[in-house]
Amino acid sequence: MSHSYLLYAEDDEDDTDIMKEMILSHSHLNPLVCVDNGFALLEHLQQIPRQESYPSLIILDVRLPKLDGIETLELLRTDDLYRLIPVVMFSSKLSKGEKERCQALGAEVLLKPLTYSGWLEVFDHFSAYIDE
Amino acid sequence: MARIFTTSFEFNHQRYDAVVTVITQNDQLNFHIRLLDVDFHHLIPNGVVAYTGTSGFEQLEMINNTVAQSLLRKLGEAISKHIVLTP
Repeated sequence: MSHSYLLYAEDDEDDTDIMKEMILSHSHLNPLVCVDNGFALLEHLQQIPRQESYPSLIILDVRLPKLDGIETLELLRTDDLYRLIPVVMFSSKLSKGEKERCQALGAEVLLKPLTYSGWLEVFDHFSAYIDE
Repeated sequence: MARIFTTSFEFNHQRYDAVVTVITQNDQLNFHIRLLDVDFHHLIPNGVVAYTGTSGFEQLEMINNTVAQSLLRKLGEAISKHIVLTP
């Protein structure tokens, strides 16, 4: 994959579908890769042979099976090659402690929107990471 | 230098996943292995194995196998002295 893309870890199919629809309606490059847990996200990254091909943004849901979002973020920040990839923690609910932990690890925190216009705003934010 | 990677292994005819963190500092290798399956938590506290040494992880396996087997053998010998089997 040579163009920039978003790597989205999300186990809720509805949220994944909304994100896919948003991306497809705004970009012809289909710059979205979805995985459903943190372990799969790490597996995806380690299959990428060159650093230049890493995703331009990782979007992590906080509640994920197998390896949750915060654990995954901590691992990403440990690795010398992955630590510079921007990460957005994207969740419908987050405790104050979780939010502070994510921010301390250099991740941006966004709450999942409840309205279509909210999703558009979020998508605008994510699309800044996609080269057309 | 710090790297993470995922790995899978087979145990008791089942496949399990682990996340490994390797940190190198001076001549030391620091391994942190997190077993994701909670089934292992009764064998390994929190499912985490940590090891620091100057050689690779194979060395840990060798050391642990030798020590664990030796210890179990000794324990078995010690316990069997106190057990009398009756027909």
